[in-house]
Amino acid sequence: MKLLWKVLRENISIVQLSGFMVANILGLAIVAVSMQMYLDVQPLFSEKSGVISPDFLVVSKPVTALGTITGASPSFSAEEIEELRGQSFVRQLGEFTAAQYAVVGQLVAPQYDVNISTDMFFESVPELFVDVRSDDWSFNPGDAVVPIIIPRDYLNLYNFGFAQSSHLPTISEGLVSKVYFNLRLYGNGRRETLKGRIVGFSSRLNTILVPETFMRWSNGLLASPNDMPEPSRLIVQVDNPASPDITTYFDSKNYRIDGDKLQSSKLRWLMRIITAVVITVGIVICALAFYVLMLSIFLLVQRNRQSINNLLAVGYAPRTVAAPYQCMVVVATAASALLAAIIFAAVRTAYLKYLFMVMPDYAPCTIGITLVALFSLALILALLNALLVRKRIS
Amino acid sequence: MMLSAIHLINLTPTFFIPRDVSGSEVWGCDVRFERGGSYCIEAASGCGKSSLLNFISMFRSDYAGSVMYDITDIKSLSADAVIDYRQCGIAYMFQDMRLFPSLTVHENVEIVNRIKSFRTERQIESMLTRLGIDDKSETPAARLSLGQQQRVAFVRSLCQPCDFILLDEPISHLDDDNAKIMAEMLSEEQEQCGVGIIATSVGRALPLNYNKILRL
Repeated sequence: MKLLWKVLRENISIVQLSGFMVANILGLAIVAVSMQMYLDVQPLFSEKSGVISPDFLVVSKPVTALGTITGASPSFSAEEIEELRGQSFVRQLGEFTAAQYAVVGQLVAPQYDVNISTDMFFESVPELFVDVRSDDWSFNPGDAVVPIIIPRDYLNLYNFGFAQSSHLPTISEGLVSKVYFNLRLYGNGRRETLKGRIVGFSSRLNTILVPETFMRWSNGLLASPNDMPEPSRLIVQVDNPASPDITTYFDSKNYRIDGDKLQSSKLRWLMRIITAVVITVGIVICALAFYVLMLSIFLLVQRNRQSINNLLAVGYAPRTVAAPYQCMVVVATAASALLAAIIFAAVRTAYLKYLFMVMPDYAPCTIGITLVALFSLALILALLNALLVRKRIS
Repeated sequence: MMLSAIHLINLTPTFFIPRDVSGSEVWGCDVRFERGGSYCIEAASGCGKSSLLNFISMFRSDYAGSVMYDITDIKSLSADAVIDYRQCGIAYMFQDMRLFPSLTVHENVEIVNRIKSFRTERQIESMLTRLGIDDKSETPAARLSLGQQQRVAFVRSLCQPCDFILLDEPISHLDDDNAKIMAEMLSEEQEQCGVGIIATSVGRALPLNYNKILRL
């Protein structure tokens, strides 16, 4: 091999080889960084982070003074619901169902001199819109305990508002979930007593949520037969939060959307697009680097055509003659991949700092998938180049 | 896989086809070269001596007719079979030598010998010494004279096992003494291994006892 290499290494252009390596390192690093960054920012899109919410909008009608005076409820008629469901930007639509009976929650703990009660309300939405996954989120008629989901903001208000100003201890989500309280339900001349327990905290739904099965059962038992009003809030899942049709439609109907969820959804959608574009750019750069190397190899083989022909003439097999060049491209590609991995690690270390600032309890995603993708891409490029070398010499 | 005979059947280069080749003892004729025999192909310049050897050794295929290795038409051979014949069946000393300029004399011989490890170091040294170029062993081929290059190419062609050795104007740059030494070395090889020898000549042939001298 040493003698072969001595013959074949003539006319190798270090400049061209370096050009290929630089382009390949850049392309591979861009693909790896953008892929990993997309995986790393995914937790920001989850409900729990509260940083960016997915593509769900809670729609309601504004409460007007006239409505207050006349007692008219800002609810959605069946026709309005169907019209909204038929819009092109709507993927799914669900209705908030309110309990049509009185609810009193009571917490009694004589050992701690605690005896508090409050009027409450319940609402439910179809299961697919609930953003909390809990094994306890189920109710069958006859169960003694009602699982409840409350907004995370309620706990935050207590911990960061009320507790701070009143010098009271803060409460964790875990602790709240361990407390059972009494629920007294009154309606239609009947009364039911159950236990309640908070099993989850929602970043999406600003209500005191109970399972649909409980709502159907309790409304059937305690609500007046003719007392099933139209829903006053709807939850909508949209395909493309950046679509101008959404704003146009809601403005034309004078509907309100909860908080800044639309802006957050637009941001999430935009981030997806940007990541896809950056990954594509990275792949294009890798493809160009591959093309540069391919041309360099063709030129090298052409320059060494006489030597290659002589080697074939004296009895060397084409695969033996191609081997040193194949080795060269594999080593160059492997070195590029390693350097790209180092750059990727350095860039990731840098941006993770900012992610921790945004989300202090952020847990970084594994880099295994990205490294596998990086080295797989490099392997494919190396194999393709090696194949082209062999074909060219044959 | 021993090659016993090379058989040419109506072999005519395509660039000769409109020409009248009736005066040739090779083109368009039935010619047989037997292993262990010695054959000289004589012709003036431009008559296709190198083309003939290139056809026989499968470097070119622009001809009509057939070249048979025993009973096999060489055009039907697979790529692997071609490589096998080049490594073990047919040795070729090219008219233009085809040495590697950046390699030394020793390296030029070794790069071929290494394919099948046919000769020992001692045997190679002995051959170079007989031809008077042992002192040039570490000299790059690019710095040799044409006569020295020709002797190196000859030694190199003896460094692979073969059934036939093809030599294209092997002594065109050599004096009579070196030509005689070359002929002796070839005869010894023929005696020991039974190789067939096919040599071309433009007038001055290798001093061998030929079984046949054919005019192209």
